[in-house]
Amino acid sequence: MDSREEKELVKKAQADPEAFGRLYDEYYPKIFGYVLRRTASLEMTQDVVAETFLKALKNLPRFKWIGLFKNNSSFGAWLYRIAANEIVNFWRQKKPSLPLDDVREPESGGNLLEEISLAQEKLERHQDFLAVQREIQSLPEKYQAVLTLRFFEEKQIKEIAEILDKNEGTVKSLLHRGLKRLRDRLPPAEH
Amino acid sequence: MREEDLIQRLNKIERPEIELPAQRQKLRRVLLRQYDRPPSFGLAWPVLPVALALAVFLVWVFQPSVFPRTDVALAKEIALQDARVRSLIDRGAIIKETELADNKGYLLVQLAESRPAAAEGSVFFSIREQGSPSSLGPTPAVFLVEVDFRGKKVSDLKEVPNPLSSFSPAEEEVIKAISQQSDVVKKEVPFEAEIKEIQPIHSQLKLVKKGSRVEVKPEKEAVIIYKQDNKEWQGKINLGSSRVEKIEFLGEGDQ
Repeated sequence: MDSREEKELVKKAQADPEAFGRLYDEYYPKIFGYVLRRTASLEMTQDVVAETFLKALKNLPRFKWIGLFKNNSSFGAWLYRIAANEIVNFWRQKKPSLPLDDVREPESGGNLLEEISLAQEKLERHQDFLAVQREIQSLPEKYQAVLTLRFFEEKQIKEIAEILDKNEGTVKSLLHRGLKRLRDRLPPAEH
Repeated sequence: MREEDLIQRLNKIERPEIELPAQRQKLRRVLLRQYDRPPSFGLAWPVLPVALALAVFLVWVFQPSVFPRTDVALAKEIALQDARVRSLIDRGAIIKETELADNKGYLLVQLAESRPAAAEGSVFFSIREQGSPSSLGPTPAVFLVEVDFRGKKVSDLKEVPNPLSSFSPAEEEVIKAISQQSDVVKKEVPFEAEIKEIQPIHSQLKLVKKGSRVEVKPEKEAVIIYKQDNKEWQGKINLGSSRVEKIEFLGEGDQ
């Protein structure tokens, strides 16, 4: 999906569910992956992702294409920002606005429980990732956000600056200090 | 560990690529169902209590000046609190009429005691006895009271003159025409009877609203005397309504 097409979809999505559905299909895997790699919790990821898209849907009329984000991934950057905020909200135990049981509850004939069980097994096989992720999660939130976006989501400094609404110099500084703190905590890798 | 080594390690890490397709589909349906819901107040809710408080405050502050209660009952209530009006009422005056215009109330207050006893029931008696309408007795004193709703006070009180005006020739022609066309006159007064005289009488004063102003206007009335031989009839004609209001046989007079 190119920038122009995405811009049209965002505009149409204010009234057209199909347009929002297409944006959702495009960004769900990215946002789900980001939240999971940030939290390492499937349960929390489901809640945060649901809340992220609900807030995006509700706030679509207030989304400004020009001004806040200027590159081609502006809508995506907006979603990442909502997700990052929702992660912090979740950790602060803020009540979700969406009845999440609706989303979690398995449908008749559905395979959500089995799906979660398999996904949990798959996640636990990434022991090296989980060890690093645990240490990142023990850092202050500002370092977690920068390190995760940079190394797990492979975002460029400019993109991280847009998502976190900080200037590039601040992001570089946070990245440098975050790496320094992480280096002191991480045990040597096993080869 | 050097920073470069850490960066290298982080870049090499195998990241979990996990998806929950069933959850993804379910969330999609839940989200798209939101389009069918009625629009919520959104940001209006936090603003609502403030807006309500502001509205109540504004009404409380400006109610007397911006949205004054302007009704007849309030006009009378305010007028009766004025010492001058109270004095008139104590002397037997009555509030004859009330009008409202431009945030003001107008009351026509008439002193009943000044009305001549003989004229109370009929003007005819006076004319016949006195012989001249100009000696009908003292004119009932009438006062116009102006009430200011904003200030909640009587802003003006003045006596309204009610002169006994004479009729112009044109008005006399109108009176004659009313008389000739009246069925009551045709029935009570012989066709041969002539109009002996036309005289004005003390008129009833009326409040007349003109746009944002209220004026006091007399309702012109005339007494008309018919005569045939030595018999006389007397009629009362209202020029405002163009009607003969009453006709009465006065009896036989001197030749």
